[in-house]
Amino acid sequence: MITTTSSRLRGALLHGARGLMLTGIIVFVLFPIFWMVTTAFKQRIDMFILPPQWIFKPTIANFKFILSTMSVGRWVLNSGLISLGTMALSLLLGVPAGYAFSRIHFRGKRILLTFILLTRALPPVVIVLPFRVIMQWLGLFGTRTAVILIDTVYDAAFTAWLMSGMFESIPVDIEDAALVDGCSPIQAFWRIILPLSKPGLVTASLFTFILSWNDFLFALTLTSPETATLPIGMLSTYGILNQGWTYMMALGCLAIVPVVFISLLLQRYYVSGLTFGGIK
Amino acid sequence: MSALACTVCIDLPKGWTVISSVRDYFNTGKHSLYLFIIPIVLYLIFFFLYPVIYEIYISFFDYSLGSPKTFIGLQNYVLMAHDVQFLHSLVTTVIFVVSAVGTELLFGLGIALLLNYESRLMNVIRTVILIPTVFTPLVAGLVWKALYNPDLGVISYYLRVLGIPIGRGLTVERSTALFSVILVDVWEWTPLIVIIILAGLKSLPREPYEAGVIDGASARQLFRYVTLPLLRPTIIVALLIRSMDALKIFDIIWAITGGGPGTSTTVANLRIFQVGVQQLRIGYASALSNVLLVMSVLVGVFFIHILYSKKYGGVR
Amino acid sequence: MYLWRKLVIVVTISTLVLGGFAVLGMSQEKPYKGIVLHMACMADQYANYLKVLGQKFEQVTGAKVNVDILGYTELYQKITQDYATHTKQYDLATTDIVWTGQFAKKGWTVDLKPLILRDYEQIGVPDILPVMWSEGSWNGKQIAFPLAGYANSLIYRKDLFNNLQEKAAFKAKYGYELRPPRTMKELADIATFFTRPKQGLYGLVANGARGPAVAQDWMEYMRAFGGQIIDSNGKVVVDSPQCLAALKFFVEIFDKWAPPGAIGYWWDDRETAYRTGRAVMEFSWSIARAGYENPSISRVVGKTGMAMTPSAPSVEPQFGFGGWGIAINADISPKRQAAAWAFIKWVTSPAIQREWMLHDGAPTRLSTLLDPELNAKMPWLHTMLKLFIDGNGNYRPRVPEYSRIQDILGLRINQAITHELTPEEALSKAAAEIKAIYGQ
Repeated sequence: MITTTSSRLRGALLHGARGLMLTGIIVFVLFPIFWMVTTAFKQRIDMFILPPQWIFKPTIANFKFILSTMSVGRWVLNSGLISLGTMALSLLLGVPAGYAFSRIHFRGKRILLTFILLTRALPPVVIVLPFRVIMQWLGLFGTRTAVILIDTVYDAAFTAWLMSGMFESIPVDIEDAALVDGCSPIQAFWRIILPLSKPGLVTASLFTFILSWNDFLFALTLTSPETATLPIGMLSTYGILNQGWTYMMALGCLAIVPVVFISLLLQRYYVSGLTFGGIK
Repeated sequence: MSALACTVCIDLPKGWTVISSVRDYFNTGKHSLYLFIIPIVLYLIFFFLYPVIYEIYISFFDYSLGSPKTFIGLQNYVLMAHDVQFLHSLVTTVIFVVSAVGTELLFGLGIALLLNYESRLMNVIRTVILIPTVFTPLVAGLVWKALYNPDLGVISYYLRVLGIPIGRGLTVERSTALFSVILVDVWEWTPLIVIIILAGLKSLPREPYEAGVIDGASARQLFRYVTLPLLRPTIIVALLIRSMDALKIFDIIWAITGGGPGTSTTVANLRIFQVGVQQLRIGYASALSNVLLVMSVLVGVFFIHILYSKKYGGVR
Repeated sequence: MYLWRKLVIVVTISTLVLGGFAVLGMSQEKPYKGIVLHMACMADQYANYLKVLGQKFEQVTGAKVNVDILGYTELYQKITQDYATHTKQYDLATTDIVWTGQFAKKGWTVDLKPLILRDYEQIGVPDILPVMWSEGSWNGKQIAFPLAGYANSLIYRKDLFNNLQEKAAFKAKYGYELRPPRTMKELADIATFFTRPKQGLYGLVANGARGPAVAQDWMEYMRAFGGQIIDSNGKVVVDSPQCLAALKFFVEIFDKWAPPGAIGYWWDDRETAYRTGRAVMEFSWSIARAGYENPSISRVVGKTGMAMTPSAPSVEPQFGFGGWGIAINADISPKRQAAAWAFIKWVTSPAIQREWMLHDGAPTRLSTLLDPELNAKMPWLHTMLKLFIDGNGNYRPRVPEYSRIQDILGLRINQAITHELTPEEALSKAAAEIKAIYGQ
């Protein structure tokens, strides 16, 4: 009798503790986001009142201000074009390579794969300076292309690795059947394998897009005023004598909404990208 | 591009005999697939390997952007060996990586175990915790910077109300500044570890548990002697992914402390940025970069080695 | 018939010629049609309206100026990279007074001296206050044109200084009248008197953040104590007794009188501390003055006084002068340079400067500072004029090595206020490092 009561009590306590911890985690995760969004709708003077105001009259003045005085449209366009460009180039380079890696074996393959994967370990600061010099030789400094080219170094390698894992999970028998029917390997890849690997393609597209959208350092060192991206634009709210928090957070919302939205929409694919094909 | 050209040439008319012989060569057997690898290899040679080699080359020069370069041999490296600020930034980097990744692993493991059962609520939570990982790191940094603001920041305010001593502010005291940027990294990247470990937990075999239960093992024993060993390869992969990425830390620290107070949050990336991008001393910055390059290549090669063993044979 | 023909020909030709003149005349009206200039602009208060003016310029000359607003360090980084590698990203840039020496030595921006002499009358050179020319003058060159003059002054809470109870309490405690301090001793007394953390009130605030913020604010106190970084013989004297006294006083600000977070303040944080009513006094640039009267960001509307900064005894009072010039990238084509020069003349002309002043602008001209309507709206302009007349733009050394000196001080002064180093250690390290730059 006593034991069951105590174990029931323990169960309840455990349950309670679990609930408490989960609540704590959720608050920790969501609080900064909540603060960012509410701040974007606050009046500037309200930022400077303590204790912090949680109930306030929302205003869209901050959005109006940034849209009317800053080149937000241009920044969004640049961010979008650079991300889409990186995505396209990375898929073009990475997907066929991933397929080849999953289907052929040759001497030096491991060294080659190591070389490709090493891009992931390379700190951006190390590559950005020489890259800048090279872009200037090529006359590409200050263009969107320059940022796409350097983002693709990371993203194409990522795509190749991710897709090779994806293709490996497709049995070779399917292509063999196609080859017997008179297809060439390339036809088999194009007509049969690619349509089967849609999930991988979605993951790769989503991820290369997000990685490029979130980039700051490359855009900071390689863009010109015409090609500046959204994070670079945020620097201009860094006004030296006026604390532009509300404007900054309004811009932050604009920067975050697209990526949060698509990654939650395509959550399953996003998760498999996060784990980098390392887990199967 | 040549991959695309190749897929196009398949559909050429039959009469093109010369081309068709080339076509036959590539279309029969798996030779053609080599064509798939060449573009990415060329691309990485030109845009990845070449910049790295150029960077190594330039580290032997006294070179400021826009000025002529002079060969000075190993002088940059000699200078570096006496550059207290840079050596200190390396130490800070190691402290940052070890404590950020360590904390993330600890929290990540705990949260993953907490979330590892199926219910609608858990699904929602698993979705919600993904959001920080999508956050543009610069934006995350700016948000946290405002939260930490020593006078008006929400965090500082409530900590003071609770009577917790935070000195003049978490981000401006030397003793807590590094800790406060680590916390932001923990916020952004613990979910990644949670996701990886959850995936690992899902793929665990059932038999050892059944055997364990029959043998009368307690939940704690099951975790210690069954779950943890089975998860080991997953944990190692998670650790290495995070270590590689943590070595690249820049945006968050740049936004929150800019490396201060003093040099307490100046990690190597930030120091190299200051020397190379702000002072335009490319030659010297390249020498500094090489140290970081060696460090990250070592971690990277180790990671890839583990990944391979896991894929072809497993790490036990 | 011939006559007719002749007439027709004459008429046609004259029409063509006249029409041609007319076309020429029109194109002279808008001589820079289609040119789009890029300007890198400091993210100070004045920037937003400069952006508007950049677009307005199109109606006048056909050339448009796109203004790109950047924070202090990003601005410096972007334009120095642009100049050093000749990438021509920016045609125009606001140029801090302290960058003068470096830009002149490198020849990065166009020497405007010949143009100023050519257009002397049109510009109305005598109307621009003499001190303004230190924005950009170097070894007989003028590498930037004065755009925005800032005076460094003591900003204080007039309402508290005039409060009778406070006055009485102060006199009882210190034995003299409460009034804007004239000496550093008085500054310390008043700061101590008003520091009441329980009421959320702090006596004196300054920038503490590592980098340009702490370095530049410390230099204000260095000036007040009569210190110098480099003396008139070019010798590095940053470890002098005056500098040490200044640093000790500066450390005290953060230990005793400033809000807790001041140790991490940039300019905007310091201003926020004042505008939110938490700080009673600060040394500040006049560009921030109008913001105190703006109810959407300020809680001290109508409560601000502006006075000369105090100095240590036996130090000849000198008032800090700073601000921004506007410079033309030397790499751009002559045609773009001409358009850029036209913009500079236009934007600094009396009429436009007056309009700009009404939107957080900054003055360079005597006529602007004496304008009755502006004075009615901004009663502090006459104090600014006095400060400009005795202004010194050279206490922050405008030498080519300035930015490296600032880097060194930015770290060492920060380490002193966080007590990582003692003031003596901080200055002797800084002195050694600055001497190394000059090989001393």
